[in-house]
Amino acid sequence: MASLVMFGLWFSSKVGDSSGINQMAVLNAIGALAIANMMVDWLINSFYFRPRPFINHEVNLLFYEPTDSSFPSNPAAVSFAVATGIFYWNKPIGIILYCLAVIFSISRVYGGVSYPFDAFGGAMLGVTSGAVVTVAIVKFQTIPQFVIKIARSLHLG
Amino acid sequence: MLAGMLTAFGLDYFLLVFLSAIGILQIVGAYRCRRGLLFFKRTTSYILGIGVLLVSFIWFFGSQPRNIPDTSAGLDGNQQAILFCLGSIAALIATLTVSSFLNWSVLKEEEQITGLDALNRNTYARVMLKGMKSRWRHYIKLMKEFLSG
Repeated sequence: MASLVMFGLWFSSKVGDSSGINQMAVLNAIGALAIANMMVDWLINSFYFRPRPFINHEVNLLFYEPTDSSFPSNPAAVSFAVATGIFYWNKPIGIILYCLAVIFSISRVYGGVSYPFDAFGGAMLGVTSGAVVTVAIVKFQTIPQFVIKIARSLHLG
Repeated sequence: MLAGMLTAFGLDYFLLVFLSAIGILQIVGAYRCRRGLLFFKRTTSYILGIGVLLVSFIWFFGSQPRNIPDTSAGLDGNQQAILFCLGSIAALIATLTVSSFLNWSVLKEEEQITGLDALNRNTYARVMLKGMKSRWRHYIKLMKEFLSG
């Protein structure tokens, strides 16, 4: 859902607006998503494993049984990273994505595949990686501007 | 990884992304009045976009159980990301091709505009052709200048 929002956002710049703010938001979100995913999968999960709630407790399981670590919640991290990446550039869409991320995180807990603290940890990680990538993009705009320039030359940005 | 994506579930997911991305492009094109992205007139494209988006989600989640683990016939995160990119690129190509074909005789803006704004009153095929023509003329001019010394 968040990916579709990003796809639509890329093509929804205002008529006559050549600043490329929405495209910057999408590139920011992609970078934040990648960093959050790598932090969870490669860094934290490689030295810390927390069993899922359905292993030790009797829960009403609504999803299939994931085999990876429960902490931090990867879907929460990724959805909050995308929302944070977008929020700096486009506040209304960012707020909508934050709401979706909260619903998504609660659904993971309600579905019995994450503890509340897993979702909270994932959200914090996502917000942090989103903020770090935003600062990096604001400071070093050369690479995203280059991507946007190529897209503009193909009339796709 | 590739074999894992070429399952019935993978193809269904690709189709979901493809159809919903077409729907999103129609909605965004109608919202920002970019006629070069639309299949039909603005209101019709709005309705078409919302319809395609809803139907694709209802079909995907309503036709079969989709709560499948990635350790059996499901898709892991990387496979989903690849299929999303492929599906959305395919949707973009399909949208630009179909809208160029349908609007070829209707949209003929002569002004040279850069970026997405070129699609406000022109088709993508015409914009690209015009760009290629002007680049070709530029190269010919450069060549002539070079040969004449």
